[in-house]
Amino acid sequence: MKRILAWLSGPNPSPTQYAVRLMIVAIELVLGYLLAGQTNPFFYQAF
Amino acid sequence: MRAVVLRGWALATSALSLALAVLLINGALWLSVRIEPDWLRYRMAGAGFESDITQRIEAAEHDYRQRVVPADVHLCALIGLSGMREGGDLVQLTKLLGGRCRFIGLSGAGGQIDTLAEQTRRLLSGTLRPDVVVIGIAETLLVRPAPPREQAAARWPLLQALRQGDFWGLASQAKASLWFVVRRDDVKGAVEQVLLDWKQNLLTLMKGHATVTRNPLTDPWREMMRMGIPETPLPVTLRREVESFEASGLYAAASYETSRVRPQLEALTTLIRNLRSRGAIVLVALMPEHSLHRSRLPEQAHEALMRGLREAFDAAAPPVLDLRSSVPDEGMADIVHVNGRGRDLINAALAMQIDRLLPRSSPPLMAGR
Repeated sequence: MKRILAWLSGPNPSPTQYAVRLMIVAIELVLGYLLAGQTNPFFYQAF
Repeated sequence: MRAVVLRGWALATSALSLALAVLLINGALWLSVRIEPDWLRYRMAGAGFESDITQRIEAAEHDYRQRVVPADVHLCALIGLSGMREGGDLVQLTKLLGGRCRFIGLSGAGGQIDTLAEQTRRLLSGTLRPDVVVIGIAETLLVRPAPPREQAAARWPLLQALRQGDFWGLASQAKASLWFVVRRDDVKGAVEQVLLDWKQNLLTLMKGHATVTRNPLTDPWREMMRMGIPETPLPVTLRREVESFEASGLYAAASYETSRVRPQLEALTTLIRNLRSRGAIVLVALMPEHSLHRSRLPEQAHEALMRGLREAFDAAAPPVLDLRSSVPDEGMADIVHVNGRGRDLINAALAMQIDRLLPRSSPPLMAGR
């Protein structure tokens, strides 16, 4: 896990590292959009 | 200067790459549904509504069987399509009637009255006996909409909108082509279901009281599913809806000729007869309409409905609560659905009418069952 994180967050990213970072941000954006639609208070109470 | 240009270039390429990555994820999600269509259930569609309504009826029957709910309170059901589903407010109605009636919301979605009958058929084969049933309809539901014109059914709507310089249409088409935008409500429903199941299991494990272990998503007395339409419609939205009704032939007087409305009228009268044969008092409510829509509907539409009811039931025709012009345009979220303000108005009118119809001397039909 540590090695993956180091690879992901290292300086001067290679195109592959850059693409993986980009995909993570994109997934976060899509997930954020989908879950921001949670208007039911039980969604928050569930935790 | 050069540094600023370079920085701007880097930002632009990052934003573009991010947009491409989002599209890639969208493509993967779209593909997943092509390969395995059932992994995410459609909630806000015909089959989704029918299973939601059936679940409510079965859960209510279970509640009565287990004596979880008192049988000495009258039972009132709201049957209808999206007009009733968006307009009916079970909490408000219960309050307005001073708790004299327990409400169950059995409204789905569709474009014709026979859809309504299909979605609520479980009610007629089960043990639930509502004392009062409100059937919320609109005259346009009497007509099978004509197939959309060639223009409306363009093969490449995005290209067509671009060619016509219709940027609003282009934006909404582009938005509607994104999987995660279209299926957001289904994802929301599925996530809620899973989280609540976990929560209920945990509470049951901790020996929680029945009131907290009860899953609000499967509670038969929960509010009906609403689509979350914005409270105030944009003029362009209203115009597009009117155009769509126009294209389906719903504003043409000829669409309401006796021979053309007969199948849907029969579906309505059969439903009323079936409900009455089970002891229910039936109230037909004509749901509110935006003035843009109402002014275009031909008189023949209302006449066809009233004539159909008169011919089928004569003097015993069910009372009709005409809510069509009861809500000002500010109370409409689109041409056929109310917003919060409109909802308050129609629930007050519904409660008043239900109060008049509720039997005073006889016990509720569910008493002693």
